[in-house]
Amino acid sequence: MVTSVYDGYDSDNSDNGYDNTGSHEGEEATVRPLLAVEDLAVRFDTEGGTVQAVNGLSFSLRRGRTLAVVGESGSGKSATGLAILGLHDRRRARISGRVEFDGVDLAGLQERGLAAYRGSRIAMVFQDALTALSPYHTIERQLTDAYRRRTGASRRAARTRAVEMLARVGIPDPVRRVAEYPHEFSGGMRQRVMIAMALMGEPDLVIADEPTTALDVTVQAQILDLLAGLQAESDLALLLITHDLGVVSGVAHDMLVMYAGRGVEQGPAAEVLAAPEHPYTRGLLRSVPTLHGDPDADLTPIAGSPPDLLDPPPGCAFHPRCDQRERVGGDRCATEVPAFVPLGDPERMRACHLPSGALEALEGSVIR
Amino acid sequence: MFGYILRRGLGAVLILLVVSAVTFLLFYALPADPARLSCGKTCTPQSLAQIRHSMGLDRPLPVQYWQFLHGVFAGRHFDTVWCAAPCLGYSFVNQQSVSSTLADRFPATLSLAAGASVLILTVGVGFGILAALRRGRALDKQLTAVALVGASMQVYFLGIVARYLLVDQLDLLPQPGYTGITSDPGKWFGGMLLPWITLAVVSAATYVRFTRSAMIEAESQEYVRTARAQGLPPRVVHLRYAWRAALTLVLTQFGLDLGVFLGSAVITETTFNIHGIAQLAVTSVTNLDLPMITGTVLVAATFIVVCNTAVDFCYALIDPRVRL
Amino acid sequence: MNPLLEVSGLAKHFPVRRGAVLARRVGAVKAVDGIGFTVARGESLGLVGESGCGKSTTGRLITRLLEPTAGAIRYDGQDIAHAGRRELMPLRGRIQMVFQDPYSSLNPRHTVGEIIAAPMASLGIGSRTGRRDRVLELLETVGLDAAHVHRYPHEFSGGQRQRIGVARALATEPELIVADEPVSALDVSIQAQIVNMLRRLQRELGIAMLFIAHDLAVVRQVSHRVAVMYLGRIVEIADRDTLYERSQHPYTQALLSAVPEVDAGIGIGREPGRGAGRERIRLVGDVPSPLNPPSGCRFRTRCPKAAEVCAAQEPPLVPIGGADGHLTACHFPALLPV
Ligand SMILES: Nc1ncnc2c1ncn2[C@@H]1O[C@H](COP(=O)(O)OP(=O)(O)OP(=O)(O)O)[C@@H](O)[C@H]1O
Ligand SMILES: Nc1ncnc2c1ncn2[C@@H]1O[C@H](COP(=O)(O)OP(=O)(O)OP(=O)(O)O)[C@@H](O)[C@H]1O
Ligand code: SF4
Ligand code: SF4
Ligand SMILES: [Mg+2]
Ligand SMILES: [Mg+2]
Repeated sequence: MVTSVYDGYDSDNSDNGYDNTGSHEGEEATVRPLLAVEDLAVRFDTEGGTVQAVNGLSFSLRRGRTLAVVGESGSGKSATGLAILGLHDRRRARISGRVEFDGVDLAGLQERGLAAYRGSRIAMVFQDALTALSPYHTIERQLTDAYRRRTGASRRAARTRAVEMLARVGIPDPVRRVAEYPHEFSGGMRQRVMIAMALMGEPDLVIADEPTTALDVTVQAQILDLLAGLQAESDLALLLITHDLGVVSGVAHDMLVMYAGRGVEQGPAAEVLAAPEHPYTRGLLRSVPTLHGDPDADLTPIAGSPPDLLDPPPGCAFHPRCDQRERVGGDRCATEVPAFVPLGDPERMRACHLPSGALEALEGSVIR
Repeated sequence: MFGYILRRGLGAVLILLVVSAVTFLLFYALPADPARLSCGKTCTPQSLAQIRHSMGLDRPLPVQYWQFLHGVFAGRHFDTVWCAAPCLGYSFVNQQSVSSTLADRFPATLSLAAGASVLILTVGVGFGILAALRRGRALDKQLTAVALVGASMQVYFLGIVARYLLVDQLDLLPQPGYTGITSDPGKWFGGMLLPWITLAVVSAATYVRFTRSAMIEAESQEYVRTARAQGLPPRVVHLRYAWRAALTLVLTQFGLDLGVFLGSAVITETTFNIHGIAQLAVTSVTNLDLPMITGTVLVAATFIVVCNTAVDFCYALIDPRVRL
Repeated sequence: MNPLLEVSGLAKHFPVRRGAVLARRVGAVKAVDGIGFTVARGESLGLVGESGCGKSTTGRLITRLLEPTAGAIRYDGQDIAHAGRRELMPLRGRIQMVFQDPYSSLNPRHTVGEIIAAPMASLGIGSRTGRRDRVLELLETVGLDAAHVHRYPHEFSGGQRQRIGVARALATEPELIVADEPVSALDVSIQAQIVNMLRRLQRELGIAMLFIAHDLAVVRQVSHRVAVMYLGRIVEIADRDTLYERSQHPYTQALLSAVPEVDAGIGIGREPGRGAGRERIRLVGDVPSPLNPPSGCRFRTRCPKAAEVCAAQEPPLVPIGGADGHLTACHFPALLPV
């Protein structure tokens, strides 16, 4: 079913005026990442001063992989996701760096150029489907509006496709439900609608910004299963923004940990979770309560609180909270920003002055 | 839906009862005596008593109100004359039937209000959206400036100046005044043109600014961002998605403004010499003409109730979450 | 000994009206619909369940911010279910509440000192200087710098604000604290700080606690016993270890198995969100509307074990299993096969 939809879309798409020649498959995809973000910075000018929401962030994502971007509130996760598609308000946000998608630098494009990517090759799923869907328009309208503009499909054909996508994300009775309004759906169903919307254009990359944070655990599990299933099925790249390490552990191939707008650790999720190399990652892992740890022992929080981005600490932004800084020696942590560099394996990156392997020496595994 | 109309209808009746009762009470709180006013210079105590009786003023207040209600719902006798329901009585001053006087005057006010509303909403909302679309550019600044000037104008001032310039001096517009739409549509339209334009200039200005800010606020809605993320061009995002949210705000404002418009109708009608309900209300108050006062008050209240119901219906049309 | 708090048959129905003028009642949200439990002195009872199941409403009923539709709330032997303002006055100091949102629950125009002293002042506890000393002591108790007493809430981070909220609740030396999702709005690293603090205070001060949360792992960390709610009902209640390890209700089991956990030996291909050694249970659909709950067992529309009897008969909350005080409301209670 999926492949036939794919083919139909491609032929539909041939004469719509948008450049859509990027390959769906092909040799270079395995060599070159689908998305390569380099030195991305997002600054907001506010009354209190300039907020460095994202500060020199680099990462890449290949087709068929899930990269989880993890971090606490305010670490710049959403700002990163929005910057990829140029969705920030240009009057308020200043963006620099490269966002290379399939060989094109999206950061250098204007609205018009970006529109050719939005929804078709890169789709977004937002956190709160209740506010992210228009209360005034039917699901059909919202699913098909952009699709019809892009493909020139007839109303009926577009509706058929919308129904197909709703069915694909597991919405019962999609023929009837496509004519309804978002408020007539439950929370989990609305999030499915958002995902169906993202699938309308058969994208290569889906950016999901906390897609399950507003949902109950039992429903969250359904949605994560759905995303993982779709991802495996259609070989898409998934950028999953979340603050929940449990979610990362369940669905991500790779993970990027952010702190105060910078990447601090990156690598295959299994490796990072089992043997974190950055004190912050380790701190996060140790502070999460689990269902099988010792319930009578205290949790291990990270001391202090996240930095004020209007006035970030000098040097390593984590240094006021870090329990390892004495091991570095001197004042380095407080004066010198640690570089985000590979740790031997080029996949495994970290920004810390500690020698590699220093944390592992402390204890075997952080997971209690 | 049916339930809604029923409830609205009952609510309206309740409101009208309260409004008429309050009118009666307020009237009797006035120190003036309408009978004395009608009696003229050569007023004997007998004729005064006679007039009081015929006006019904010699009976206690509750009885008078009861008779009034009886007249409205079941008709009533005035001496020998039978006044069929809904009977609002006869003018103290010229003995005209109140209902027929109202029927006579109301179309003028309605024409004024309806035409002006259409103009205010189309011009105000239209230019407001335009300004929002071109936010920060020259057109936006010009529109905002014009709106500011317009909003600082007053109907009587602008009306008189415009009338002098456009009608008397340049002869661009016909003399303002009311002609029945059925008797001569062209003349009706011509006569209303200046009042409409004046009202629109003064009030549409507020709507330009209001719509502009409502649009800009709507743009920060998350679903507008979703529409952008789907690749819809800015124009479509604005006109299809942001606009709907803005419309709700504009409609709310308009519902609130209706009452204010009605209040300012007095000035408008006087400025343009239109014999409408508002003028009637003013003269009947000066003449202490209780039946006529009650009549105009009831018409005004009904008008507001009907308009608010219409606004509710519009809400339900715009926003599927609203159910009547 | 009598329990400190004893709730029975407690219900709160919110009427649903339509229309502004002459509104008519079109039904009722059965937010809480006949629940019962006890909290002993010094005990911490966790209340978990999905969004909208009535946890907050329960908390607000017990603190009598809401008046129940039915049922009894016995506090220290006295039924306060319908107590008036005056009767509640002396109890206000003995039961305190901590709220979820550390941003909106503190008045931005008052200093921290004023905020913490407010409950004491309104109940006429202590002299002015006595209250000031107590405030300083409380700041220390919740781990804040006593020098910050004159600062305003916006000068603090979320975690610090939640500490202020806790200090305010502790001010009147309550016997019972109702904490409604006190850590849900916080980042994990901060959440752990607050959880530890609540544990410590609860232990050291011997305060009884009703800890409301949707995060099962957090609840496990602070509760002696745990009650699981679904659509206005308690479906299972047991001591902590029994509930987490030997739950008998299909809903509890599903809830536990849906918690996404960080595991050793993680990797793709592993089923998402599994607890160690547990069978994976996936519920279908969402929680039905409390306006119109399913007949019989309310969980039956999503229950993998639902049978005909489940639609016809509501299962009573009855003792089950070996453990003391383990109650389950299910026609087919069973341990999960290992
Ligand atoms: N439009 C904006 N104007 C000013 N500051 C902003 C804006 N959007 C985000 N920020 C700031 O940028 C920083 C990063 O925000 P971002 O939304 O990316 O965080 P996040 O990691 O997604 O956090 P959360 O988990 O809370 O969603 C925050 O400090 C935030 O206050
Ligand atoms: N004041 C109210 N009026 C009407 N309905 C209400 C009111 N308060 C709560 N409800 C409804 O009662 C039900 C239970 O709400 P409650 O806030 O107790 O849930 P909860 O378990 O605390 O959920 P959450 O995890 O989302 O906080 C919900 O369906 C809610 O919509
Ligand atoms: S650079 Fe220093 S302060 Fe930063 S994480 Fe490493 S050890 Fe800690
Ligand atoms: S009573 Fe039936 S439907 Fe309810 S939980 Fe038990 S098995 Fe499931
Ligand atoms: Mg975010
Ligand atoms: Mg709640």
